[in-house]
Amino acid sequence: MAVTFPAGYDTAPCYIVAINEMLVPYVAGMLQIMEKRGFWASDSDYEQGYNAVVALEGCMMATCLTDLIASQDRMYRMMNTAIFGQLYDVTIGPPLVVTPEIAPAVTLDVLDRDSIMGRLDRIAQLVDNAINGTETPLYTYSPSVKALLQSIIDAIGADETDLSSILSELETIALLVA
Amino acid sequence: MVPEDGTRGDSGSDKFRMGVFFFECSDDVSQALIQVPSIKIDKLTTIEPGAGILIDVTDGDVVSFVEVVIDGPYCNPFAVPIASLLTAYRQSRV
Repeated sequence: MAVTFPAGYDTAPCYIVAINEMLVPYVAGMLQIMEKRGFWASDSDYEQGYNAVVALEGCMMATCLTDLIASQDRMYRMMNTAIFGQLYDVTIGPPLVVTPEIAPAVTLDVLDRDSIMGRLDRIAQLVDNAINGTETPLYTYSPSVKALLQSIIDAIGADETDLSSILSELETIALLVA
Repeated sequence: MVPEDGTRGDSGSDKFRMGVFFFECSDDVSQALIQVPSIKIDKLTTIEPGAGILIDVTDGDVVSFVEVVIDGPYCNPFAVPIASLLTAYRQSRV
């Protein structure tokens, strides 16, 4: 029975069908019947069908699922390095060996100060130390902006009128804020 | 059904190792398939994935064959000229 080429082919989605590599030569070879004019109902069906089936056969050895998964792993490692600073050792294969292995889950631990999370943490520590005077692992400057402002307020409250001292403390604050 | 362990030819070529070349045509839409009756084992790639199945398109003989097809007056069954190689691998077409 001759077959009419399916309408809507150009807009239909594609499915990934996993075929063991060793079976591809046989599975693809069995599609040869669809490359023949006799399979199709008309010349037009034949032309569309031939192009579609030949493209399908070509795709069957074009993208290995292993490659897709490896690509996804590379994307994961790139993000883990950029965001958390996880560094990887790579031994070029075959087989390609990358350590450490991808963990089932990640924590919020910052592994490298130059990662995105590391830089954010550095900024948070700087602001906390400069404004609040909190001693952080990276910053221990003193006095803080708050402390300096409080000393100015205290000085004014005590009716001290040494403007040069107040201006000096304001300049220090400006430098810290900058 | 033809038994798979039939007589083998030069360099292990056999009817179960048909070389199939897939081309894109000059209109960027049409496809073309060219099959050779058998292909030698040493023309298949040894690199995974695809070792023993994909045809080594960097092999000198294969490159020459593809150039002849692309540069020659060859078309797909609908008279669209063949333009470029997409992939090539062995198939069993018995």
